[in-house]
Amino acid sequence: MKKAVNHSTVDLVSAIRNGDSSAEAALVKQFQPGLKLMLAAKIADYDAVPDLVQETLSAVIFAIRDDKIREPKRLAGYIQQTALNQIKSFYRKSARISTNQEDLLSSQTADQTTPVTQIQRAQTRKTLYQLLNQLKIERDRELLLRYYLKDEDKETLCKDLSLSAEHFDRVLHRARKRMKALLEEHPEIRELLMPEER
Amino acid sequence: MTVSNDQTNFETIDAYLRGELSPDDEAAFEIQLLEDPELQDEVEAAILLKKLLSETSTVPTQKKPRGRVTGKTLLNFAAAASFAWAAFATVLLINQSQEDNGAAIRTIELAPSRSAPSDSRRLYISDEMELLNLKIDLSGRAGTDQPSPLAYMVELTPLDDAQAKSYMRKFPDATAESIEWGIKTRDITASEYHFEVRGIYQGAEVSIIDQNFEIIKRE
Repeated sequence: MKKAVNHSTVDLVSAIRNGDSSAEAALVKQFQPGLKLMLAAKIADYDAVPDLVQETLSAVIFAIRDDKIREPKRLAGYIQQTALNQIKSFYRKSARISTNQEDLLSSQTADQTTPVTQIQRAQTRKTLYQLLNQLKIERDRELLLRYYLKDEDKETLCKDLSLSAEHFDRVLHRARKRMKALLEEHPEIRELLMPEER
Repeated sequence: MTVSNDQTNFETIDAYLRGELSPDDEAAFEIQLLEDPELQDEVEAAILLKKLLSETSTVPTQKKPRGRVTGKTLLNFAAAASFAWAAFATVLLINQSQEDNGAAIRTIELAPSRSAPSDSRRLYISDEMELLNLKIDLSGRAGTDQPSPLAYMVELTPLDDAQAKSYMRKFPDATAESIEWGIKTRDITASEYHFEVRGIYQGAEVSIIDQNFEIIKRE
């Protein structure tokens, strides 16, 4: 899947400082996948992730151009901190938006999906259901739902469902393997669950 | 912290996604995530599996309802929750009733309050203390018709102090009546901080507590 050759962060920073636009593109390509996952793990609104990725990487590139990165070897740490700052900014904006009644009312009337998009989403959901149906054992399905959706802890689930810790790990491991295989066969599912940059 | 073998991977990734890593381990994990394509594959599968289940879930669970909201009802719920919490959101009651006689752990009890907004408040820590334990009482929302958030996010952010570290922690169990967050005091720089607790809804964040603190180190 998708993996690119990683460049030395020292070389990338040096090249960007020297005005090399291809190095900027290489930086984006190198750090975008991990950054997207970090942001997706931290915020509830997946639709906001692509914009936050762009804002974070833009801020990093501007900082490099302005010679503000003192330790190029620690570029990943700088990107991580910049992403956290972007998340904080996002939360503050969200809090303001969600307490503004007029904005909320106008947002509710705007359905931006087209009929074609809705059909594509319905088809994709059908594929997702097929994936879940591959879990023949009801108990396994319940385990996944309670663990991933309800955030119940492993110890409680093992006790409730009379499972060993090893069985618990096996179910989750199998589910992740199926998920990875499905994503390779159906890239549209990744797009549905975690939209790409617009 | 470096994620290495499969089992460690599995446990660390889940702890990360559940917001259970310490701040230092979380930062180390995220830096590795930015650089390690193999770890990215693992984390992506875990995130998408969770998202898949939320998209397709029809199976009820035994745990008490959390008022999960989706689709077009989302903004209505977020709005209702926002306005209902707004009456509480401006200020904190602080019960510093803990023993402070050289105790290694100091617990500060915090709760949303309807009182008038206050200025910055002072919290004292000392070198003898190992842990500042923030206990946040969320029981005030019990018995109301408001939807439960999916999770809570708690943040402690320095105000205009580049040397001070910021802290962020996600608490996934939104049905809890209180949440506790321990911060190692040796990591804390004396400074003024902004403290915020937010309820996370799908597609919206609602501020529940919003307060400034001045943290002072006693000799």
